[in-house]
Amino acid sequence: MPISRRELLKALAAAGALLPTATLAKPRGRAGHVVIIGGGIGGATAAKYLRLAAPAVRITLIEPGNRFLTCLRSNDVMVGHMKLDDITFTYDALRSRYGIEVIHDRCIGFDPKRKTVQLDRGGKLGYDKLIVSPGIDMIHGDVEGYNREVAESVMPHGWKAGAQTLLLKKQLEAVPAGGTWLMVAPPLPYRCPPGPYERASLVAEWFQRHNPTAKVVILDPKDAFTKDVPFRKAWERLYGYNTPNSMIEWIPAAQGGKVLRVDAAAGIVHAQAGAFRADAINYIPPQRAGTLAFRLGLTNRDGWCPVNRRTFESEVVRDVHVIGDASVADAMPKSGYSANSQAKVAAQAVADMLAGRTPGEPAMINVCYSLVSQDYGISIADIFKVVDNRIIKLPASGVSPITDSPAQPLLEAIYQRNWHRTFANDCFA
Amino acid sequence: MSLSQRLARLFALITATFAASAIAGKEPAIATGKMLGDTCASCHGTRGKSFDEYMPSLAGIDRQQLVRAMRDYRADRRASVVMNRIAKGYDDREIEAIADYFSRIR
Ligand SMILES: Cc1cc2nc3c(=O)[nH]c(=O)nc-3n(C[C@H](O)[C@H](O)[C@H](O)COP(=O)(O)OP(=O)(O)OC[C@H]3O[C@@H](n4cnc5c(N)ncnc54)[C@H](O)[C@@H]3O)c2cc1C
Ligand code: HEC
Repeated sequence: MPISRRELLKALAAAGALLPTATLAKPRGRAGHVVIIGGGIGGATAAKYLRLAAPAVRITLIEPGNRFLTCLRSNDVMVGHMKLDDITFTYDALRSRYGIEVIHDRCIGFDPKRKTVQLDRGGKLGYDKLIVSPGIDMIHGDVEGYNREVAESVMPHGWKAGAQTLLLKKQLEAVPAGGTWLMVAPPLPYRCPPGPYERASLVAEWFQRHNPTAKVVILDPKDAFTKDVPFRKAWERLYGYNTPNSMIEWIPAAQGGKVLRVDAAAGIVHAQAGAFRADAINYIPPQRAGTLAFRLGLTNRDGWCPVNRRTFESEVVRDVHVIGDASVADAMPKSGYSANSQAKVAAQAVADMLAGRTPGEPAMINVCYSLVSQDYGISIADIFKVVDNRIIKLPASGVSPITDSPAQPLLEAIYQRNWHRTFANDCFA
Repeated sequence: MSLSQRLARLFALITATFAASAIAGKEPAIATGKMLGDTCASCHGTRGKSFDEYMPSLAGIDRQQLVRAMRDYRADRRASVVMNRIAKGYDDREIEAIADYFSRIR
């Protein structure tokens, strides 16, 4: 077989690259200790899938709460189709079935040189590899009149499930006949890109049944949003969108949707388009990586965590992997689905690295399911690859087609409602 | 080990790697069947074992049945709500790797 010089050089380089790995592959005496911080969608999935990939590794999960409430389907709790219990999951299976040590405490810092993490109550804990999935926190104070206190009382965001969800529910139910429910949508990037529009849709559906002359107003700092074509088609079909009697009014940036200040006491939001008085206000503020990521020094100037896209190892601190909403993941949206997919890639990479193997090709996926009503679902499905340390979306796949068949959105709705439990099981059970 | 033995081993290593990279030159590296299969688990259940009557299990599926189903979804030859969009994200080699993975799970 004729071999060109260039090919031979390439082959030699490749053979050379293999040698150090082969040397490292010797057993190191012990399998290692992985500490995972944050027992949400990303952290729980990482713990479970790491166990599946590395049976002998010691795994410790740090999470303050002893139960986890998924934001997924929390919009259904808000409109009374589900209960908080339906979105609540425990760490029992991670402990009993996967032998993961779960410590209910808060991480407050770490020493990357000595490789220890500092817990709030529980002292220090050593690690070989750290996986961090702290989610998001809100940015308060960029708009006059809006602050943490306002967010926890009269203008809840409902962007973390639990008390905030119940506050939104109470406010919705208190809207007087013919009143207005107003949402301030966040700027990109934020957790769950279709989430605001799903919520506005389900509020409109709730009004149809309980308060038919009430209205939904969305003030948006953007001019477009994910799945906006099928969303708006569904709003036309279900809520009279684009007619004088529309139950939903969407005010994009181009029409003055950007908010300038709020008057919490009076229930007024001042936007570029003018003053909007409402009976219930759902203010979803801009977001950044969870506070823990800042404490550990893992963030960039934009407030998110840059990572090696093939392994999710931090570009700032070695032996620390950041997954989920907090990570910079290019074309992947900040969703539970993405967090779950990234967790599997990071878990495999950590298992490989601890065993002295070079991590292989990653494969990632995101599906954002949204309900526009209880019987009308739409979705976006994308498969991702990493090219030159960028996560890119494959050109195929995509958004639910708009068809005249009523079966398509109905089937999507049925799949979605059932999917929540399968998905939560893939993360927690 | 004599020098000639060491050289022979090194040569074997180089040609083996060359053979691998010659294939890889035409066809880029793909993820393992497990890595690819994990992207299905978030809907079909961990390791393809579904909990939900609406979602077919993939664990232990006949290899050819999975390959055929994925190709049919990809070509829009089989009616579906989401699988046709998902299948378009995987090429033939990836589908075969996925089929190997799920068909071997008991
Ligand atoms: C209304 C709404 C609907 C949504 N619907 C969907 C949907 O249908 N599909 C979908 O895919 N996604 C959905 N999402 C998005 C999804 O909830 C998030 O993208 C997902 O939770 C991100 O996972 P994560 O692991 O990054 O963060 P999280 O799941 O938020 O987990 C972070 C965890 O870290 C813990 N933590 C934080 N700080 C510390 C610390 N110092 N020490 C220890 N632990 C700490 C927290 O307690 C928390 O448990 C929705 C979101 C919203 C708001
Ligand atoms: C977003 C959720 C979702 C993901 C992700 C997903 N599937 Fe599916 N799958 C479905 C649904 C829903 C159906 C039922 C057909 C339909 O309506 O699309 C299905 C059906 C199938 C079937 C037909 C099974 C039968 O018994 O007829 C096969 C095979 C299949 N999927 C394989 C896969 C593979 C392989 C992957 C990963 C590459 C995958 N699926 C990822 C949701 C999903």
